[in-house]
Amino acid sequence: MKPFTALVDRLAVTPQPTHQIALIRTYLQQTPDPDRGYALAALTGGLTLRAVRPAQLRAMMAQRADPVLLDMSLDYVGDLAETVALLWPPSQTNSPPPSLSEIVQTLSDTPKPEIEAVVASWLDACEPAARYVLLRLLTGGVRTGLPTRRIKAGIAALSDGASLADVEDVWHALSPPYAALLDWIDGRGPRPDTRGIPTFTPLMHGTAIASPTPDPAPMIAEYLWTGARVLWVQDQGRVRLFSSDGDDLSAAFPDLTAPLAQDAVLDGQLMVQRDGKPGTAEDLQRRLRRKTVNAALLREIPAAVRFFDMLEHKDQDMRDFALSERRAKLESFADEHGLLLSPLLPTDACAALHENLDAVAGAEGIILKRPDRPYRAGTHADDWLKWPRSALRFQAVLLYIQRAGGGANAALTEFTLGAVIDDAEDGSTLVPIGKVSPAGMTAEDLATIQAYARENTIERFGPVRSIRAGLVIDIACDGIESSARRKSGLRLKAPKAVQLAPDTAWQDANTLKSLLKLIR
Amino acid sequence: MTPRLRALENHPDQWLQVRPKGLYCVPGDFYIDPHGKVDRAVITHGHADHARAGHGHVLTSPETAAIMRVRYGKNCAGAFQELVPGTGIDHFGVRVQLVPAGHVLGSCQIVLDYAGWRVVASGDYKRASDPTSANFEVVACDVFITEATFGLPVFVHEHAPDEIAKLIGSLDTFPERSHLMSAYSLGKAQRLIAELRAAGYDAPIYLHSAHERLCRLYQDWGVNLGVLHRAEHASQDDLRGSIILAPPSSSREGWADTLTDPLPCAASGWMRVRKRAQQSGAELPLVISDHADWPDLQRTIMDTGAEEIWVTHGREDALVYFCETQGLRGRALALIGREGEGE
Repeated sequence: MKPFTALVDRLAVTPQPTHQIALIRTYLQQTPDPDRGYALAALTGGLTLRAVRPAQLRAMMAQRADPVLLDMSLDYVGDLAETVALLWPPSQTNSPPPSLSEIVQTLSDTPKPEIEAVVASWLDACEPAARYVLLRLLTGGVRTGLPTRRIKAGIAALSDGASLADVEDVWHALSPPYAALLDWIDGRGPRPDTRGIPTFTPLMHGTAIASPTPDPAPMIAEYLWTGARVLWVQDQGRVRLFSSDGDDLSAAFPDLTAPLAQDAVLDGQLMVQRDGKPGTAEDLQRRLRRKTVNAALLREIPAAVRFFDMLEHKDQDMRDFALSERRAKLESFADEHGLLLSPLLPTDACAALHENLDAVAGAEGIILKRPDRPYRAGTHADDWLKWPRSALRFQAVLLYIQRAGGGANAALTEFTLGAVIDDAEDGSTLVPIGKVSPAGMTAEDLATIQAYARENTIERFGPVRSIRAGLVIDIACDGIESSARRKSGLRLKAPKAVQLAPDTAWQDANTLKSLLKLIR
Repeated sequence: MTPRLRALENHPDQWLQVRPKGLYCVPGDFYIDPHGKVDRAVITHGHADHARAGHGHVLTSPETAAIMRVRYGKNCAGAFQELVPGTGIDHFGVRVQLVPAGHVLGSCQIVLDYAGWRVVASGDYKRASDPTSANFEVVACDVFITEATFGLPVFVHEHAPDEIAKLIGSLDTFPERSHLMSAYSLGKAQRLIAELRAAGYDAPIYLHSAHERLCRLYQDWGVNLGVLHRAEHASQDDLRGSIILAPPSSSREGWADTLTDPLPCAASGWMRVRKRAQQSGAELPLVISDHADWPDLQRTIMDTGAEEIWVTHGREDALVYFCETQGLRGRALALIGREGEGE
C-alpha cells in the first residue's frame, strides 16, 4: 500500500505530463507483480472494489471518534474519506499494511458481513496517507484526474522497445493484474496475443485552420460534428467502443455495441440527442461519465455514431489504403449494415456551407481531407484540415487569475472570466462564466495583467487570487451553450483569450443577458 | 502534583493577564513574548512573532539571544540577560525558569512559580525529536499555557525521517531537477538540512542568502549541517539535481527564475490536508512541522498534570473542548499578533 500511496499522492500535486510519466515509470520499476498490475488497474479506473459505502464509513468512524471533534474535522477538511484517514485512531497492531493484491484477493474471498471488520483491520495497519488511498479504493476508486493514456505512456516508458501505440494496441486484450503485459514490457515474455479481442488503435486527427487556402490538390469535405470522437471495434463478433484516449466506453453504451454480421474497425463521432435535438456538452458528459447506464438515461439521452472512416474490415488492415478507397468500402459496409454516415459535401460549396453552419443541427465546422492519403495516427499537416465555425467574439471582465505553483516567476496559467449583471439591485455586479488559458495573449498584455493584479488583489486562495474588476478581455469561443449546473446558466465552448480591451470599462463588457442570447 | 500551600486569591488569572501588548506577569512586571515594545520581556524563542526588537530588558536563553542579535542587530534590546535552560532566577518574588521546548534552537518553556502556583508558558513546542533542538521536557504545573497551531485531530505529523526519505527518493526519480524547498529561515531550514544529513545525504546543499546567517549560527552552536553553498553563486550544473533551500517568498526572485524546471517542495504541518497541499503549489509536500501535532498536544496537556489549560494562538476551540472532556478547565487566551512563523 505504501508505494502506491506515495505514487497517488505525488501524481495529485504533479502538473506536468512528462513528470507524471516519470513517476509512474519509477513506481512500476520498483514494485513487484502483481501489485503494480493492480495499481495500473486502479489508476485507469479498472479496479472497482466498492467495499464500503460512505454512510457505513461514517458510522465506523463515529464509533471511534468524539462526535464534536469529528464534526469540527469534517468541517475543516471537507471530505469524508480524508477526514476518516486522518482521524482513525492509531492502533497497536503489528500487521503490515495490506498490499494491493492482498486487498483484491481478500475482498473477493470475504463474505459481505465480514468486510467491515476486515476494512477496520486494514485501517488499523495503515498510516494516514495510506488510509486515504485505501478508502478511495474501497469507496469507488482513486481519482487522479490523469487520462488513461498517460498511465499507458508510463508503462511504455519502462520498456526498451514498446511504444505508447504498442501498449494501447494490446491494453484492452488484457485484464488486471496485467501480468502478460508487464512480462512483455520487462522483456520476459512475448507480445500479448490480441486476436479475437477488440483493441484500441490510435486515431488520426485534423489540424485546425482559420480558413482554407485554395489548394490545387482535390479535397473531400464533411461536417465536423459536435460530440465525442470514438473508435468502434468488432473482432470475432465482440464489440467495444473506445474514446479517442483509448478508454473503453462499451459498458456505458449498450445502444451502440450490438455486433454486426462482419467484423470491422470504424472511426466516427459519437453524438447524443435530447428531445430530438442535438444534446449539449453536459448531456454528452452525462453519458460518457457513466460506468454503466440505465434504461431511463438511454431514453432521455439516446446516442448514435456518425461514421466517417474504416480502419479494418474482416481482418484486413485498411489503414494503408487511400482515403477514397476506405470511404468507398465504408459506404458499402454502412449500406449493408444500416449505419449512419457522415455525408460528403460538395467541395466547391464549402465556403457557402461554412457560412450557413447554423442551419445544420450538430455541425460545428467543416473538415477537409486529402482522398489519396492513408490513415495515420496523430496529426499530419495537410492530410486533414479542420475548419471550425467562426468564433463568437465578446468581452468579459477578469475576475480571478491563477499562477503556476511554486516555480519560476509565477507565470499566469488561468483566468476566470465574468459577465456583467446590470440590473442587480445593488448596481452592476459580476457572475463567473468560465475559464480561459492566457496562451495566445501577448507578453505585453500579460505584463499589464500581472502589474494590475499586484495592485488590485482582493483575496488569495493558494495560487488563485481574486482581483478588483477593471480589466476587460476580448474573448473568442466556438459557441455558448445553456447549462443548468452553472450559476451563470451558460457554458462557453473552447473559449480563448484574444487580447486586452483597454478602452472598455468593465461595466461596458458583455452582460450576462447578452451572452444568454447567443446560445444556439 | 503535591498539594502546596496556596490561596485562591493568588490564582494565576489574578497575576498573569492578557494585556494589549501580550501576556503580562503582574508581580514580576514583565511580559512573555510581547508583540509591542516593553521594558521587560521574557522570550520563549526567536521567531519574529515571539521575539521582537526594541525591548528594554530581555530574559531568554543564550541561543535565542544570539538569534535575536543576528536577526535584529547587536543593540536590538537595551540589555540581554541570558539564562541557561534548566536554571532559574528569582525576580520580585516570582521564580522564573527556562526549560527546553523542542521547537527550534534555544526555544524554551517559561516556568513561573508564584504564591504556591506554578504556570508553564510553553511558547511553541513539539515533542518529536529534532537534531537541531533540545528535546521538550515535561514540567508538572497547575496552569499550562499551550499553543494550538495544529489544534484539530486531523493534524497528525509524519515521522520526519520518513518524509526526508521521500525527498531523497524524489531526487532519484527526477535527477535533472533542482528540488527547491521553501522553508522559513529559522528552524525549519536547519532542521531539514540536519535530517537530510542524518539520512546520509552528504552532497552540498544550496541556500538562499536569507538562510545563510542563521545556518552559520546553528553551526556555531554545534549543529552539524554539512557542506552548504550559496545558491546564487552556484552554476547551473551544480544546481542540477541538487537541494536548494529558500524562504517561501523567494520563488518569485530572479535567480530562482533561471533554474531549469525546478521541483517546488514544501515542509509543513499544513501539508497534512490535501487541499492545503495542493494550494501550496508544491510538487513534493512533506508533513514535517516544528509544532506539536494533535496527539502530542493532548499528550502534553495530560503529562503536565495541569488542571487548567490556557490555549493561545491556533485552533483553540477543539483543544478547549478536549480539555473539558478530560475534566480540565480549558480557556482560550485571545493573544493578538501571532501569525505562526515557521509554518
